[in-house]
Amino acid sequence: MIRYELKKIFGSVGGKIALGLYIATVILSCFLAANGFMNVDVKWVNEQGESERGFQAVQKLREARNEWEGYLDQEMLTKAIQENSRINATPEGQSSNVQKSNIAYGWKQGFSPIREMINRSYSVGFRTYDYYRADRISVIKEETFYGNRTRQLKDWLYDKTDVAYDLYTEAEKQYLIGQYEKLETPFYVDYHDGWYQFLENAALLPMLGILIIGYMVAGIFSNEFKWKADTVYFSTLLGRNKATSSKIKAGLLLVTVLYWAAMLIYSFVTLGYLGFEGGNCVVQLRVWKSLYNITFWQAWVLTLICGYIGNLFLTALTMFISAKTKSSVIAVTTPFVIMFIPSFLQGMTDWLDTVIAMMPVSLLEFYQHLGTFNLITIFGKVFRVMDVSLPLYAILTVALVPVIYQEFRRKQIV
Amino acid sequence: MDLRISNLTKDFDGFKAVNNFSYSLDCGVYGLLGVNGAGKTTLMRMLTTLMKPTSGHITWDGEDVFAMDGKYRMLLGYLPQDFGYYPDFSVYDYLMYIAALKGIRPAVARQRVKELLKQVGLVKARNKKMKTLSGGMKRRAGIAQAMLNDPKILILDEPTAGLDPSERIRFRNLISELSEDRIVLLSTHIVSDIEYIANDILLMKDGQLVISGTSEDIIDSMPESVWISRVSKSSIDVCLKRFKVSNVKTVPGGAELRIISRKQPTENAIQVDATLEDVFLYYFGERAGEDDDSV
Repeated sequence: MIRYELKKIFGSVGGKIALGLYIATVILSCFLAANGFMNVDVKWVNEQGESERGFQAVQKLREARNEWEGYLDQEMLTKAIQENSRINATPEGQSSNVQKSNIAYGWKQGFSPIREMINRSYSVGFRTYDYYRADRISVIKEETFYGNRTRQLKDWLYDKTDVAYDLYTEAEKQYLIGQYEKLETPFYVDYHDGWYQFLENAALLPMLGILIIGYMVAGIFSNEFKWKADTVYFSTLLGRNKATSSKIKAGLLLVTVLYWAAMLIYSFVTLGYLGFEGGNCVVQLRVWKSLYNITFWQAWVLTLICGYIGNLFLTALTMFISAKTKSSVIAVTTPFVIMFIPSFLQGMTDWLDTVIAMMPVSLLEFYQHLGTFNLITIFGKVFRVMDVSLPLYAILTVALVPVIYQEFRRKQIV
Repeated sequence: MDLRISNLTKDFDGFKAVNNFSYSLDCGVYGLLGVNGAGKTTLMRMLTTLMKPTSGHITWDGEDVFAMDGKYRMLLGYLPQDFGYYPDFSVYDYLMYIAALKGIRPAVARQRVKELLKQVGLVKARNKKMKTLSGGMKRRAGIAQAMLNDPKILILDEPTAGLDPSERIRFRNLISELSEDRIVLLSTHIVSDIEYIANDILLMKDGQLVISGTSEDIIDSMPESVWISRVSKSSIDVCLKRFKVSNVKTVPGGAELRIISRKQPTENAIQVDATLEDVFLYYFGERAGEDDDSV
């Protein structure tokens, strides 16, 4: 019966177009990510100061970064500062000419992520950023480099003039500091642009995907009424039991297959093109302030799982609305509303931001939440929002299944 | 094989679509006759468990059909008035899907679908999409789906609605063929649909059973007579106002009226045998069948 449910979806012109659109979205995402046209501009600036893209550029960038592979300890930090100073002292480094500045930038590409971390570590305040900070440092200490991260956090949290002072409870402040202190140092640095590119763009595909999947499943229950097939359907032996569960299974199977196929293809194309190296590096190489002490590959796994749970929940919710309202139009708007309402409300108040962070859409943008400080205190215990929302939506999805089942099977035809 | 309806009532916010309806059905064809809005569809929806009654019971061999749940629906074949289908399914896929819904194993279903496609004359159209079928073909697909599980109770709600005369006759014959060893309940507001094939006819009005019996019983039950009267053009309107006129046939110089009246309506009126249509008019009035069927 699941086969017939899928046939109802993909047999229609709308279903076929939706599937085509989904496949096109995956292909386009892969193409853009691999070619460095998305959030992360993966390019190589050559000796002439010109930007190169494509596989050759990736190879050159990888070679340059590989020269800086290893633990980011005293020796490597010193080497990075010295190299940065040496380049700055060259005529190209001193020049205000864009072409020459680009040439100087090109020489720094191998250690640019390290330079970026130095900028962040030595910026004046926790919430400030100075792009040229590394250029003004001549001596660097490993302890200070890593220690600044926690010190700046503490200063920010206990600065009575800053909103953070009242924003977090003492338990939450201690939790934040504890997370920072737990991070193992020194970091291991390697070329990791493949992971970085994937994670930066990882939200786009599931977000677009769920809108398309939402369209596909929106009619799974309501179309029975729209097509007036409900009378025959409910008068049959299995209409109110096995056939109803087949509808739910078909919806969940659809989202599972489409989501994982898309995300795995997208992962392997992006990583295959830009490189799998660097999976064991901590995410702080790119998200310096992150509370999540995890590596890039762990972030990849969590991104996929969170995205899946988010997609699964939104699919189940869409199906529930479809069964409840008998309207595909209302059902299809569900993912749209849930996805876009938060973006309108974001930034209004801090408590609202925490609520928004708890919305299922945040599961689709796990990587974007790595750098946020959304905390929830439950019975005195502090959690990161993602620690709560991931199991919460997994449970809600499981709980929705019997609700959808009962909602549809009890329908009376008036 | 006993389908019993006892004091069945369906109340929609004070409006009784079916009001204290009782009847017992066993093997045979039953014609449920009533004007649009008489409550036929509501009654059938309760008989197919699509809708729960406000009060009263429906039992199958003594057991409540709602309590029987799937066991009862296993016995059912239903062709609703607004027969819906999956527009992008082929006829074959549609029937195979309904067979799956009826719990028929795929191997058995394939054989059954093949037989029914032949019986309803849709073999050539088996791979056509449902949405591309003509009205008559859709109805035939509808009867095929209702017959898939070889039902003991076949409920057909206005099965000939929207069909042209030849399709209507063909459909009637098909129902006759399928009526063996089962209860067939056929609702209609078109007398000729059931006149020849129903063993028993149930006349329903305002949610209630007015009268039931064989075609002859019902005709005999009418306390008035039927007359044929030839009148001039100028008298037609007067007669239409004074009498129940079941038919007006224009003839040179006037019209030949079929009048239902206890007494001879005009001097030249000749008494003739009553038909079921005359009875229908007698019970339901001249405006019978003009409203849309919503209940």
